[in-house]
Amino acid sequence: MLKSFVIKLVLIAITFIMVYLFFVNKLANDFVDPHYNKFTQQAGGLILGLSRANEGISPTIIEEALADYGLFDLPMVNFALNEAHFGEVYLKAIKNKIHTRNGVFIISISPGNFTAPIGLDAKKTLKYDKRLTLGKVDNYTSSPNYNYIMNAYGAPLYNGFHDLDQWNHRTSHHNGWNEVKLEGKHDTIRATDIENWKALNMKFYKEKIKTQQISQYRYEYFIKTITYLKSKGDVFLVRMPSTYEFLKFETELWKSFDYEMDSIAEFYKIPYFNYINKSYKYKTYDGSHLESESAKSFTKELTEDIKVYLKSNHS
Amino acid sequence: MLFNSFEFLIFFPVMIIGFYSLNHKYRWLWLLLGSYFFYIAHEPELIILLIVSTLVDYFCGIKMHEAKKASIKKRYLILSIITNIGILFVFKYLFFFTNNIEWVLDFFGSDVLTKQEANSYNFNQILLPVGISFYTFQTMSYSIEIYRGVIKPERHMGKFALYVSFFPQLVAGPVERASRLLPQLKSETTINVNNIKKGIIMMAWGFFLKLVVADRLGLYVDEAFRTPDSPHSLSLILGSLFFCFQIYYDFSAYTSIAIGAAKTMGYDLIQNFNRPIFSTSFEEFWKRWHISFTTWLRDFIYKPLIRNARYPRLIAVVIVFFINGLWHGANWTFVIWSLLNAFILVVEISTKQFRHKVFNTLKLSKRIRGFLGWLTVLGLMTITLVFFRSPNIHQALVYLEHMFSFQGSLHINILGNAFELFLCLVLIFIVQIIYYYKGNRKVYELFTKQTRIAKYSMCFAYIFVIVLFAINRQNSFIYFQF
Repeated sequence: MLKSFVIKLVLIAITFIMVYLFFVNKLANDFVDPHYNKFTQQAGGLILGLSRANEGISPTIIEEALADYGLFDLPMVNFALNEAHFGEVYLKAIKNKIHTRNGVFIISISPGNFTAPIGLDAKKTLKYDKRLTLGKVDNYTSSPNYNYIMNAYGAPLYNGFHDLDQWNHRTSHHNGWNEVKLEGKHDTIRATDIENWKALNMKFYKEKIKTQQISQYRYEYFIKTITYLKSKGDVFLVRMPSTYEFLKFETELWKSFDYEMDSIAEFYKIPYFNYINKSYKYKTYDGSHLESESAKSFTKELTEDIKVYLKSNHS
Repeated sequence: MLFNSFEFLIFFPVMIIGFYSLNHKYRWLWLLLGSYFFYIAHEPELIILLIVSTLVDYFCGIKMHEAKKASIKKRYLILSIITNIGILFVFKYLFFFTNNIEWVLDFFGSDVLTKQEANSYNFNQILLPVGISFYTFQTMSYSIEIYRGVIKPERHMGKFALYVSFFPQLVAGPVERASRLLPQLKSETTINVNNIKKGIIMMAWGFFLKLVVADRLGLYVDEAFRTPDSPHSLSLILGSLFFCFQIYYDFSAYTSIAIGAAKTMGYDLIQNFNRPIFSTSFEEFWKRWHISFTTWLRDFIYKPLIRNARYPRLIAVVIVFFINGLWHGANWTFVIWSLLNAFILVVEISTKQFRHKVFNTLKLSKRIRGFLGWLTVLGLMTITLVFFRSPNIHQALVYLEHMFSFQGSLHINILGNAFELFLCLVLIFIVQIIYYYKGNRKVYELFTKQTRIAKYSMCFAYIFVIVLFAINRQNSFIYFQF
């Protein structure tokens, strides 16, 4: 009786594993989620930062513009996520992600990159980070990435049968860029929608910041990240454009931010491209993040500045 | 270690195989090591508290039993209680306590400490040990029962340590009495396929409840409570109603897995629930909800308070519910939730006769009375649980205000996924039907009393449901935080 029971249990377990792997595989071959494509390839260059960089910088444009130089390793991957604050977890992911000694690394920074929940010391911040997407994943480069789906994909696997989870204004590119177009398949984001989302976002940030502090731990890991990436290629610090209200909000949070970043850039001999004064040229879809056309224009402007810098420093 | 983690999927079979492979003489050691490993996998440094609590209660238990004088007995009981309450106070309530003291001093304009000095103590840095409220209350019951002469102390330190740390119920109960669990842990169990089957079915039920139902409801609840000032009143009502079911299924899931895991080794843990959602009064609800803890409060706090009319019953109820609220967490929201329950209970008991008169006058049948009672309990639970779920009193009040503002919006699909919302409702319906017919204790009969073909079909259906519909977030159980 016991023997047959154990055999049945083993058969059930095998069936379970097979069914599970089948549906994981099914999902992996379709749209998984907006972050999945960031975890499916090794990278020659990276775009790092939070959600602003995730939606506002296109790797393809940078790759094309720098192709003339033929000096840099490819592919360029947008590895910016809204949870990717500087820390041990993000640095470990970056180290696993890149395979280059000659890459281009764009680090998008704002005071938000340096925040952590109030009261957390280094150890607790690390523990906190490990509970987020980057911390749950061990594999950052496989395609299909079963490790990502098993550990970080938070939705049910029946989503493998449809792609309703993808917002109809967003296109998740294979290089990790999440492009947001004002014109969607079903509707258009109008000026009133933008104003409405802007107000909601601002409210969200104001509520959230009550629970956050600028973290020494994040600052230290920012430096460690720069130091590491400098050994692998050229590093560019970038402060992206946004709307006046959001930039003012950030400035209030950390008044000497630009001054300190300038000092760090100078000390480490890397450029700091600050575009906040050019924000009027670009349009956001929610007050904070660039919409598709602005993202493309901004990436082009950034690439031009990178080219100028490279010409003067690599010649 | 979480029950709903890959680590547990490996840990548990290893424990069971090891348990049955070993001679009875060594099983306690195997289980003890496994239980400590289970705890260490979650919080390595805080195992020391579990050990301290175990050693102090082991020592006090023996000393109490050996003491000839009542005063000496009492001294050891106090030592045991102070140690356990002390651990709880430092690790769970110190930050809350100092915060409140600070607020009171601020209110009266007193500056005992500057802000900088106060912050330098870093009480908010103290980690809350998982399961601390459960194992401290369990060991306290051991000491009190020895003091009362109900049980004799356990002389075998290892077996006593196992009673305190037994892994299935270590982090979220049930709060087992030594008189129930210790004799079981000491007795020899032989391998019994029926026990293993029942245990595995109970665990499978628990995983279904947690991964498919409770975590799914949690998505809606999280969204509703993220925007307490939402203009969509119906979505807020549904959010709180869903939380009512979420917390029940989440806790019930943990208990089912704990009971199932213990059952596979031949041990019976106490069932914590008896269909609480079908209660037709608050009095009934509190007899059916978290039974191991509510009976603890009844036996060790309520009864001593009312003995010899020391305190009026109403005062005793308020004290018990105050402790109940505080036990759940170091936040006034839990205390308010619990005191609101006490208030409703007091009103309910004191108006019982009047209500019966009204019902008799209206000639309402027993069934209609029951239905009205059930509706009232569910409605009031939905309202009071807003305090339980909210991070602070202000947000709870904002939530309640908007919940009842009814601004004409009928929008409830706040996740933008009508299928998921529909699924939530269907799942609640299915689970309640199962609980209605089988109760919390005999869910395994759903499977065991079927034909062979039905059993195979159910196995396959279960696999597909878990694989396709589970919410893969590895969320910890809600009661872990208590």
